[in-house]
Amino acid sequence: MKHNLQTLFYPQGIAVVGASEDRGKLGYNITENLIRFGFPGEIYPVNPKHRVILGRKSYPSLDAITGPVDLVLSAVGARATVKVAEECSIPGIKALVAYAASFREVGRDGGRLEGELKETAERSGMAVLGPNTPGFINGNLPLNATFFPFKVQKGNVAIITQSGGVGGAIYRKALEENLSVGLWIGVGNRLNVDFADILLFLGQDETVDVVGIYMEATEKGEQLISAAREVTAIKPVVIYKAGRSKDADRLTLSHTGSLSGSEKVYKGLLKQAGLIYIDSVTELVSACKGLALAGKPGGERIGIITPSGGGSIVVFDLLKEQGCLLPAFAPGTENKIRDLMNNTSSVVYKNPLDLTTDGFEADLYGNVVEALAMDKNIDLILAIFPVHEYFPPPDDKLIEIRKKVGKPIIVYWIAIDLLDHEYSERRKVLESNGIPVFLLPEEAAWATRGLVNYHRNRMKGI
Amino acid sequence: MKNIERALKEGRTTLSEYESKQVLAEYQIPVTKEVLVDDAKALARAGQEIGYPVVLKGCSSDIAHKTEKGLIRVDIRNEEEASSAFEEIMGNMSGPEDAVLVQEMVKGQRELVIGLTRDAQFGPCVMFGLGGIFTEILKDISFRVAPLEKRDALDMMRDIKGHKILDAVRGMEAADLDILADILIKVGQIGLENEKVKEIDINPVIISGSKPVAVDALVVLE
Repeated sequence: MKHNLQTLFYPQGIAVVGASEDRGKLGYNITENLIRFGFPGEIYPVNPKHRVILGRKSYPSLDAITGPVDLVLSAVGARATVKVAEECSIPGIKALVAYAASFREVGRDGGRLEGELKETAERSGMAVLGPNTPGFINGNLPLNATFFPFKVQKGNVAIITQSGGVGGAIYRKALEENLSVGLWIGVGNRLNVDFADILLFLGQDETVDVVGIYMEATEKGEQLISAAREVTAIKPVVIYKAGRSKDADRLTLSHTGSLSGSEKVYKGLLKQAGLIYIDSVTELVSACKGLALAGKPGGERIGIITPSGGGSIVVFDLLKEQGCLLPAFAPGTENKIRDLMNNTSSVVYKNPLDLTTDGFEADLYGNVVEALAMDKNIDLILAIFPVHEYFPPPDDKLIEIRKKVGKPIIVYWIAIDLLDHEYSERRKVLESNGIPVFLLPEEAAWATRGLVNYHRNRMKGI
Repeated sequence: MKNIERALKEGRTTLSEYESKQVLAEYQIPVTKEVLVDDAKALARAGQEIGYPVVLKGCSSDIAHKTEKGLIRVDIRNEEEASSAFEEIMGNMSGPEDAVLVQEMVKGQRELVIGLTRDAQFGPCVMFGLGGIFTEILKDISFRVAPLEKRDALDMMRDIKGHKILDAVRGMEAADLDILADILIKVGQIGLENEKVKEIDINPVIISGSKPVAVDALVVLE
């Protein structure tokens, strides 16, 4: 399976069965995406009714294609997809994406059809993504094998999603956050490629540093747990498990029996397997962003510096919820900060460190961050700063500290307006230097918690 | 496991509290000191052996929730009180093998629940949470799949919202996390080693001083 997944996600020649010039058709969107987003390999539209599709020669059938095809995208309906799978098995094609819906998710007839598809796939040893999937994106090639016009990019984050819609929301939020999702994979009905298979594949894919999962349910929970144990030893994996409210209490004799609604069991087991368990789409993106950009902390002790009370209180609450540590500064650090602040009495020299409006002065702020970064009691820093045209943040200083000291720095900008061009650029510069920037207190806290939980999991493994 | 085999042979799907705790004790899980009695003489002897105050509980394998049926008398201070409580409890039961469990009265304000359930996908899972009446009301619980390692046991205790109950609060000692972790690990082990055990409910586990003790227990069989 591993070899076939390599073919599936890194194909060289792609055939689109059901390619079309009709914009309303799936086969149009998929073919257009292959071309528009610059898939570098060969593209073979297959449709017996046309000789040319989107400027490319169209083939009447799969076996009429003369060049090498290793991935087939089936853009036809459910019944026809079963036939496509049959046709794939003759020339020995090892990977298929089945977009069509109306399989087991619609009941018994669909289930029977999916059974046929599965039998064909098993017989020929073919990996089938889907059916009922939006497809996948591999921006590293680049390749957009979905019917969504998502712009693609290289990136070290991989997303596995059980829903095209939620997966799309994750993708959009990631784009807004400058988070580069290189691989985006919709699992669909998981015919023979399930969460566990994809996770194991991503574990050994060297382009991937962080995996984010949106999951509703799987019948192969045990395999997922075992794959998670293996992969989380290598790289962080963040999971958002939705579908929690179906939790119907079973009627059994004991409390334990009635309380063991699978959701709570899942939560415990996913955590036990080393996954970072989070609670929303936004948290998924924030945690992935923190982990993808900020580097691994050497410990879990957080230092917060802010010129504003409110932002740090929200952050503080969310960190305390998970027992995060905000230790006292080392005595030397406190003295250094007092010196920098001329020992002003308007500052309480404690963690979180609220510099009040004095902290708006960028040079001073930068020097205090440096003092914090040098503190042996602090492993990662959350730096809160206002965005104001007269008080530009000390970006260069932060980048210098990040490089010199190596401890993760997470920035939260208290934005007073939409980011203009200058600040969008400043944000990109910080982020390309390993300093993630967030615009909401929750997001900064979620990213910080992601790093802390990753560190805790790594410590468990030792 | 003699108790489990005997119960299965008799076609039962539950063990009595007494039998359940014997299963726990075989796995070195701390349980209340207790004696099962069915007549006045044995009752008097048990009272002396355990030392007053004691708790009397109606004990039968077909009774899961004893409080609701008026089968528990607590804080019994002498032989006289014991004998009248004994008569009352026996009068409220109607089974062929009715007996009364004379039990040490464990003092402690903190009640926890520890349990085991078999998940269809994952197998035996251990549960931890707030006990007593709070188990049903707050459902503040967490799970881990067996076998548990010590860090899993410590993690799952930290997972519940009310985990501060384990700290040194309101003049009480901090709960002994090592012993609690050991109980969680052992409960998982019972699940792994005894296929016929479907569920276990140890509720409450009372923190007495700093030490957890299983005060009531129910083992459900497949």
